[in-house]
Amino acid sequence: MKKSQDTSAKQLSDLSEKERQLQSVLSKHLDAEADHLDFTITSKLSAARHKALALGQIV
Amino acid sequence: MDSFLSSVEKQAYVIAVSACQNSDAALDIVQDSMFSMVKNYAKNPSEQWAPLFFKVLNNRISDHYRKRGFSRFTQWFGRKDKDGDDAIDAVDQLDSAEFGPDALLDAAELSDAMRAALIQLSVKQQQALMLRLWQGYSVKETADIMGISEGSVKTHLSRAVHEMRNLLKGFNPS
Repeated sequence: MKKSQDTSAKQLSDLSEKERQLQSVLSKHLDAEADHLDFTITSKLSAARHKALALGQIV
Repeated sequence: MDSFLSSVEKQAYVIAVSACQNSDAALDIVQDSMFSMVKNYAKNPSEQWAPLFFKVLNNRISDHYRKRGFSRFTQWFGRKDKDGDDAIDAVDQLDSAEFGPDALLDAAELSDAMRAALIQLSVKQQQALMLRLWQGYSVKETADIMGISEGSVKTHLSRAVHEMRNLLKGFNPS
């Protein structure tokens, strides 16, 4: 999954070795979690987004 | 804004559900965060949206725990740090040439171990870990998003990394 910003690589250059090792594993895990969310959840997220956009434009 | 929210909503849900361990609460937190973005920040330059969104999200997560009486904040008071960071553990092995990905872990097993380890962290440790190591924000940006000092970010991150390594150490990648 693409991160929400494009500066990730340079922002991670100052990580310690232990942080870098965990970063590699953690990112893969969390990317997989986000990419493989249950359809019910993704549907609810999509509905929540549309609701937020609609409410935000009314307020 | 629709496109932006669509690009971050799954990551936001993963962060929220890791923090509160409740799908409905996580969905509410993400929806509230999206609503706040549309209402308050839609006219901001789009390059500001991501850090603003994660700041709102983290505030919503903190609010969730404040309302629930700090149950997960306080569970870590008095918890002792563990020593013995030097042994080769699953985290080390994942990046080593000797234990390359193909020779390594069953992905589902590792995923379970990671999930179990993450929920052992305090909410602040989770936030620092996910913003810094997953979302790639700098220490300064992470501090701004979390509303704490850079020193506190480093402390939370250091403890989170230490704790994760210890928790994954018992994980047998066979």
